[in-house]
Amino acid sequence: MARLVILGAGVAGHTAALHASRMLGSGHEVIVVSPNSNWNWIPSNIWVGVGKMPVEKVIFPLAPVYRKKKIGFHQALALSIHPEGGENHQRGYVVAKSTMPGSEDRLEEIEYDYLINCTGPKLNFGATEGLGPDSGNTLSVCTAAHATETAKHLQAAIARLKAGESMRFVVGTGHGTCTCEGAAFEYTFNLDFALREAGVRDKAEVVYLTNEAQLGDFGVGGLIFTQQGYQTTSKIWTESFFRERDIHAVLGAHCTKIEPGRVHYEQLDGTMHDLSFDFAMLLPPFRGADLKAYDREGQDISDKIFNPAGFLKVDANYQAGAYENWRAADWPKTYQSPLYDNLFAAGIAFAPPHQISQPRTSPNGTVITPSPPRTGMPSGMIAKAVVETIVDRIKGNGKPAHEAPMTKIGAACVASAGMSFLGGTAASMTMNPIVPDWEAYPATGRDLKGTSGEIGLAGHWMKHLLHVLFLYKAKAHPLWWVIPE
Amino acid sequence: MIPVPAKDTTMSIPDPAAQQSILASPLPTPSTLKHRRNLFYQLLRLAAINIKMVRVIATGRHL
Ligand SMILES: Cc1cc2nc3c(=O)[nH]c(=O)nc-3n(C[C@H](O)[C@H](O)[C@H](O)COP(=O)(O)OP(=O)(O)OC[C@H]3O[C@@H](n4cnc5c(N)ncnc54)[C@H](O)[C@@H]3O)c2cc1C
Repeated sequence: MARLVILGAGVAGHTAALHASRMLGSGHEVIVVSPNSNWNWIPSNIWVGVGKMPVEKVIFPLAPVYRKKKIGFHQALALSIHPEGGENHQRGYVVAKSTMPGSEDRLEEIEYDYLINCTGPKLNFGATEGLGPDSGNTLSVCTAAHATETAKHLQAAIARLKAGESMRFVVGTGHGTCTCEGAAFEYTFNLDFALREAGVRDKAEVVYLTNEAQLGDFGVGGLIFTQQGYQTTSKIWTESFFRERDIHAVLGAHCTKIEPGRVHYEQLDGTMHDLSFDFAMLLPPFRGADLKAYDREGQDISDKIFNPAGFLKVDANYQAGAYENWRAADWPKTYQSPLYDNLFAAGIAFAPPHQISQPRTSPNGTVITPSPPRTGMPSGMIAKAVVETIVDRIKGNGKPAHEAPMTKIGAACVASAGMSFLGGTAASMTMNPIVPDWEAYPATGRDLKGTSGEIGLAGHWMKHLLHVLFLYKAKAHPLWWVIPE
Repeated sequence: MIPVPAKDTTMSIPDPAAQQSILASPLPTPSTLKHRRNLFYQLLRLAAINIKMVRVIATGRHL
């Protein structure tokens, strides 16, 4: 009997757990270790954050699903990985601290035959002074609780606008190395939509403050796609949408400090600025979960297993060097640790070889470049490929590892720009592959047949459909596995 | 809700170069805006978006 342990129950971890239990059947053990009792469909936090969706619609308890699927669930925070075992362990094991009410802080040691690290991002609000809702001066929609809080602030702001005040809303990225610009874009346009619905848009200035050097970069270096017989860029397309909705932008910005009602930032040309705000929702940069790793003798081997940002190193080329040398082949395929062949990472937890967007530094040496996004679709696809590899090995199929390189897989991104069944809008984008491959597609980096963008009500319906389908799938209702990642 | 055309509420332009670039981009025509909200046309687009997504999923299917 083999035991697969999965750290994290987000998009990647939960997908991995459900597929593993389905593919392995009885006779093997699947265990999930994750600190939260609830699953959260994070993309819909945007709608919670503008007060358009109650929080209960984006979360559900994990324990009943795992009971139904015979998946072991340890509500705990993993602290360290011991891939070589230890004094009392012949197999690798994980040390985790319980977060179950009543047994908080109890330490557990969980042995494994195979381990997948799906711990996603640590929301690194501490990277910028004054950033974040807990001890800072800005709001967030990264968790369901943050989004709920943000919606309350928005309602209060709308009441002030209705009373005749004028206000500035700043939405975007709170650090020069943030990722998830798509989420910031969505919140900007949903905010604009909510202000229009409330009839107070003329009293508000909406500013999108971003680390992208150009609008439409989205951390993937932008897109080139065909529209009505012409090749166009996501830059022109996005700028047009900003113009249509009268949204201002601050580009190439690294927030240095946020005081109550004022954000200080440096721009790519090295100039320093500050901007007052009445309402600010700024995303944090991401780090890996603060996991440590130890060898059999108890020596700290964290810096061998993880990169400096705490993400797990996998089968990528981390020595690519300068931008000119970057190749599609740098990106990982199997997501297996080069040091331990039973250790994998999926979703945001794997260490990318470098950014996707062109790296940029201000004359002061500040890095202002989006980090590479690992959105829901690739996170799920990578998790499934890793599980298939592990299942093959457990069953002794002798097949090569399954591959899901982001230079081969595509992604669909539907960015909501207003939630309403008949009046909503979204920007629907597809890109294939996610990471441009300039050798395979020298003209545009991607396959023009699989790369597209369009704006309209249909996108909103699609986004809502995805919300319904992914919650159905995550709850493991009948035939859940038919729904693609 | 039909979005009302935005009134320019500029308090100050925080990044004039970015704003200049935004203002140089094309605005959608009234016909494009109408199409984006036309229920029948958008039902067709929903089908088209689905086909595009299925194609991306199928061609990018992991090995
Ligand atoms: C506001 C917002 C909107 C977004 N919208 C979209 C969208 O529209 N489309 C899209 O494709 N993507 C979107 N994304 C990105 C998407 O949410 C991520 O790509 C996806 O969640 C990544 O999956 P993951 O499993 O790697 O991480 P997560 O989903 O964050 O899961 C990480 C899991 O690990 C757990 N964990 C953390 N530390 C530990 C530890 N030490 N031990 C054990 N468990 C741990 C966490 O509790 C969590 O369960 C959005 C992101 C944000 C923030």
